[in-house]
Amino acid sequence: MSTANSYAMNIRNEMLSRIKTFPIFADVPRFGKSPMLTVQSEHIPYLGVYLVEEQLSTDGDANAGEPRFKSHAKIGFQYVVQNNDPDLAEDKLDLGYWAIMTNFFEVQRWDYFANAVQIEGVERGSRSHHYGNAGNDNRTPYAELRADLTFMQREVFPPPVVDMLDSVHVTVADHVPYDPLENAPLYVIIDGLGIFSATGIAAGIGTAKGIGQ
Amino acid sequence: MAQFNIPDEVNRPNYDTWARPITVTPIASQRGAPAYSSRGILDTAETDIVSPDGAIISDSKLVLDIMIDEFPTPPKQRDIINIPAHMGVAGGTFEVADLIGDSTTGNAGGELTLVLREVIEPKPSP
Repeated sequence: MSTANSYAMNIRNEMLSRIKTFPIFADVPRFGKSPMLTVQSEHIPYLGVYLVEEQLSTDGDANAGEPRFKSHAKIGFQYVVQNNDPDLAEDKLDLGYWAIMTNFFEVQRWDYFANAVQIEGVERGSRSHHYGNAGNDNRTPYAELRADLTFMQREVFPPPVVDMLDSVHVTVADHVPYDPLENAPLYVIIDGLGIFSATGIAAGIGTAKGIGQ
Repeated sequence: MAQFNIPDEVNRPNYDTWARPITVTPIASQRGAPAYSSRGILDTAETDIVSPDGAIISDSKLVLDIMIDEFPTPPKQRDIINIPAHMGVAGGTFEVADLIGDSTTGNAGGELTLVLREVIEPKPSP
């Protein structure tokens, strides 16, 4: 995992890392991060954890400030077993599904991930069981769990500040024209930098917070 | 009118050439009956299992053609068929997953096609 990767990819990668440690999947010969490679019989039981899709919705007003999103990352799970007995095959799929749900969620701070990624909520999920191809005429008695969970977390893309505000020029006066010999001194509060005497001009770093006399 | 007797003049000579021995354990079609020997033509073709997200499980379709009149009681779904290695081609043990056509008329040429599912070691183990 890398900070160079998106939050959703970090979530996918760490979920797979955690799932690999679950005892029920100890004899899985191959784990997949994407469906790019076909699953062959020697890979059974097979477990894939995929980034199925990521939807972004605005976090706050879309037209104010930098781009801020609520990310809805759908993480898919594919667990494939083989068994000639349909009931046992289904039972294995269910055991795999429940192992993912319980071992993943019933852990303190399950929602914290590397690189400061934190899941704020699980919005929805689904699962279904499938047995072979559409015609159900394939040679190997495969049974397949397809499940997904959609996680919500936030992504903010602040702009790079190339014109840093490092000085403020303030002119204050209660008499115009201002004569420092005739008028009492004025003070300007620059946020974070204290109170400055404002004999016509005050300079400092920060934001003008108030004016005193 | 048909010019040929398809089962006897077309298909049976093919079976004499291409069929291989099989042993049927009729656990569904003749419950309790002993296994018996017969013959059939084995064929295979690729078929994949494709999920909506694009994941593909690679597999094949395996079929066994039999002559209906060579079986007093044709096999049914879940019967076990052992096909030993024959003429340099591997075999295996399979169960009947499906019949293409019905067991009376078959393909209307005297043949019945059995879709086979391999009897495999369960993974994960029970």
